[in-house]
Amino acid sequence: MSEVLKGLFSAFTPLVLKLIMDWQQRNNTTRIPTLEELTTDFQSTIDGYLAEGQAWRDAHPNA
Amino acid sequence: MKRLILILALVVSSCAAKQPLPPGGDVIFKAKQAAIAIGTLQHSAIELNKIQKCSQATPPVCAPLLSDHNTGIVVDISTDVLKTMRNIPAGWRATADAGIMQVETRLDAAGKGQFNLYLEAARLVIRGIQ
Repeated sequence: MSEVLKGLFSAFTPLVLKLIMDWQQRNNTTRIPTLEELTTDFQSTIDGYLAEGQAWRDAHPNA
Repeated sequence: MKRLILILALVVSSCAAKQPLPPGGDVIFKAKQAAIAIGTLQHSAIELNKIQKCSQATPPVCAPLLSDHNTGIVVDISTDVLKTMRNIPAGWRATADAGIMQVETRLDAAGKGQFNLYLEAARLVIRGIQ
């Protein structure tokens, strides 16, 4: 019985390791973002605030 | 509420500094933190403007906690600051400092009293971006 388990373990170990590595790659939170990604994120952050300000200004044109 | 905003701003700015950056990304990353500080300032003004403060008179007279006039000042200056930062990220500190100072100068006496803590929080966050 233990030989069967050992065999199963040996056979599946590479598969499990690959699954873990794939998962880590997909969820790698320490990946360094590119300059383009940072810039896009920066600009979209600003655009969000500009839209909020514009919406308020549109609702209060005389303020 | 005000303390919460201050604490959140400090936590965000301190945590964010640990992210690894590509070459040249440092300026953009810092400019983003500054933009968040200014955007939060604007958001705070807009939210304070939504709060109605009513008198004890009958019928009660209600007015926004932060007046439309003062909110407009914060929104307009924040818009200018954010647009400038978007175009010239490297000048984020000078742009943000000038904007905060301009808001402080232009608010009326009531606005200064109501919004001073938020301006201090924004100034503190900008100062903390290293």
